[in-house]
Amino acid sequence: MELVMVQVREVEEGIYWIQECSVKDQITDELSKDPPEWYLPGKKIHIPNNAFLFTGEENLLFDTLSPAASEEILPALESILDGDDLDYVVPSHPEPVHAANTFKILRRYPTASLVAPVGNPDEIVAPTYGKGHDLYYLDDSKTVFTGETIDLGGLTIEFKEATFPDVAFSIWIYEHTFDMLFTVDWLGIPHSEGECTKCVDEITTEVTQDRFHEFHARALYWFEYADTETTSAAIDRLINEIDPSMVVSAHGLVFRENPAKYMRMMKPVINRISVEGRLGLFNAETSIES
Amino acid sequence: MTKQLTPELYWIENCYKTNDHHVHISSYLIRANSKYILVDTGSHLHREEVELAIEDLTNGSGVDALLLTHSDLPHAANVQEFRSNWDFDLYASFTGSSASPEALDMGDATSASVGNSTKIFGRKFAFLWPALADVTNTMWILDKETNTLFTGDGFGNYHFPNQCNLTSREIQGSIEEELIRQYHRDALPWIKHITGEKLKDRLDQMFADYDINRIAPTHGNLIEKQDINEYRDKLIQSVDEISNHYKRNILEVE
Repeated sequence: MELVMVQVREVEEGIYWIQECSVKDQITDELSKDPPEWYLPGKKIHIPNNAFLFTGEENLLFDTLSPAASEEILPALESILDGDDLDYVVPSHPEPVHAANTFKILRRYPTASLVAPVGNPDEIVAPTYGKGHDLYYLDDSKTVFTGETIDLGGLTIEFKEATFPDVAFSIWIYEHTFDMLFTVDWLGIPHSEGECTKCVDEITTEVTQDRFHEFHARALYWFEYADTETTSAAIDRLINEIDPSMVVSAHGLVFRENPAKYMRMMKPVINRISVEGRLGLFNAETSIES
Repeated sequence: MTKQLTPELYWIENCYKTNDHHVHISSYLIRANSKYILVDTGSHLHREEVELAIEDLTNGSGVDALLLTHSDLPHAANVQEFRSNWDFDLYASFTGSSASPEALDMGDATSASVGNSTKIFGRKFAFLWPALADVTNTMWILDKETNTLFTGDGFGNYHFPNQCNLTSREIQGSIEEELIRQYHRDALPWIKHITGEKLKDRLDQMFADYDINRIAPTHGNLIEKQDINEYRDKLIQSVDEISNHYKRNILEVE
């Protein structure tokens, strides 16, 4: 089984970043042979899985880390909550690396509500939030529409449309007090050992288009079919409507300085993927040739 | 309900009922000499039905190998339960990941290397990059004996209650475009960002590289060879309708 390391950092008052890191040997080997400018020689490459705990009068967990961190997630939560209850568990989408520990956490915190998105009948684009909640054990969840908020007493979580969704039931969140957008699979980047739980402004390496490409050409492979006029317009719309002070992905580091710059940087990244095609998977030995 | 598709290929179909339509949650069973190979396990909601179907089709001997298109619950929910019933080899493309079969308590698994082929009980399978998938670590599986392509979440459709165990050829007028479109809109929400032309190029390349006799989706009616081109055209039309609607009405791009 893959070895993981879980670290916790309070990134803003009451917002705890729980990061699971595992070494990606294959990507490390590939990059070491033709190192990009952001690669630190001799350092292993990580692709993190992030969860976020929002604390206040009530406490909400967004994402639950992967099954590889199933032994680490509860001690991490318990250390932060320090005897307080967990009130909400919100998987961004029911994919194992995001949601695998949901029910383990709910058993530990039995009064917590499981939260899942449901299609908004007013949405012009038909409900993209999935059908079949019971297929994913979400039938007893508290359902939320996009635009709904949960006031935790201090922090306020708003459920947002996933502009770049992964699967059905994908949801993003926005925290009002600190103007922070959580973009799940979008804006993920690999980092080197030593950069774990660092914000982008704290690391010595640059976040470049190439670095974004390394992640998105594998994780959001469908960018190879992208209508780049659409994706660019979607990014502009996101910046115009929210323009957050901070942005963080479930698979990256926190952007807390000029996040719009990095959001715009994704336009040529998507364009490159739409021209060059996808890369291989993060794990194991795979050939891109079909 | 099961349907025999070829002398050695069986469709184990169950339906999930939405307000308006049904959607399949299918598994497929292949008889390889005296062994049985299962593709996907179906949902936990249909566990008993799938188990009974397998017992019946294998005369009680059960599954000898399981191939998973991906780890998503409607496809892999029954792995642990089936392990308690039968002793089988598991093949998956998500070995070595932080959500590996081992980490998901599915037991040991053989890595199905996407882009490559392998023989299972003397029968050749190719593991293809999926043109359409919801989860990154997905593979499409081509059974080279019957040239049946198992496409997981791709090539799906909603259907009406009287169409549950029908193949594309048996559906009057074939599979409706609207049912293809609604399914893909809901199951693959990123489709709003793509162009049909680029997807068509990918699909056409796949059809040129492989001789495919039938497409066996997890969430759709089986597509017979004669209907593949028509389905492809309807899929591309669906993609363009979804993406144009998003572009014009939501993003207001002219």
